[in-house]
Amino acid sequence: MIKVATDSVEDGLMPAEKIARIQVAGGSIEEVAVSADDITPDNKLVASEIGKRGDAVLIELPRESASGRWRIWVNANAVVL
Amino acid sequence: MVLTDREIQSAIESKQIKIEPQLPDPECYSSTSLDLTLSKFLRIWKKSKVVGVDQIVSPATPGYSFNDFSQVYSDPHEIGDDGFVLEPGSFVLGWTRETIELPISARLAARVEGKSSLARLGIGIHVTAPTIHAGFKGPIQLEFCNHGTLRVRIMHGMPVCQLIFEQTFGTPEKGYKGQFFGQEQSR
Repeated sequence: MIKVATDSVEDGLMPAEKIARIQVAGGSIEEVAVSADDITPDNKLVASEIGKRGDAVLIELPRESASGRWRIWVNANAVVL
Repeated sequence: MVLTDREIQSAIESKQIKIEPQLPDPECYSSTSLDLTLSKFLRIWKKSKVVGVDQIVSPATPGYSFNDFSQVYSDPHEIGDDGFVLEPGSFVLGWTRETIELPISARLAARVEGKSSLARLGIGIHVTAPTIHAGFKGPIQLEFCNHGTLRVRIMHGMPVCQLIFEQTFGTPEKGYKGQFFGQEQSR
């Protein structure tokens, strides 16, 4: 598993849920509602690495994002091993 | 392949299925499913109170935030001891009391389905999104819709849905990456 930097983390619709916003490679923001356990104390999102291409890393989110995506490209410097 | 009650119990004992806060009671099982119960948390969508004004949600719009939208157009609600009445035509979000984890290495996924005891009253608990993917962790969100003509009272702690567990064929990419993280593999 990897940790991915977030733009923000907010409370979700119920106590066990958090809303994380992640910057996609290219600049747009992806929002995903996840289990609070998927957010580290320093507000990083626990995700899975799927592949790499240049300076970008393809990650799989813990759940489907608000835009309907499971996998997104993020900048490699947003990923913490 | 669908897991039977004995296989579900075995998977729970071996931590291939993790359930909190407590292990399911024997009466929560059927031959091929496991019942989950309703938590006290609901989220209730608001209706427009302004005559002539319609709410239109456009989830495909760049920058759309479900969280921003839901914070404005829904209210949190805790189910009290007198329950919560689902009015005909109403749509409400809820969650299971149990937290489920399907470790990616377990090669299991699940589907959340309704229970006939509620279905026959017109109550659906999901809207075409029943898949609990391998690697899922958390309480399961329920999308309550009252399709019937009756007012139906739901109570926290009541059996509200069932999980049907299925074996996956192989390990998903994310599990493979995790298992061999840091190693160079030729596949």
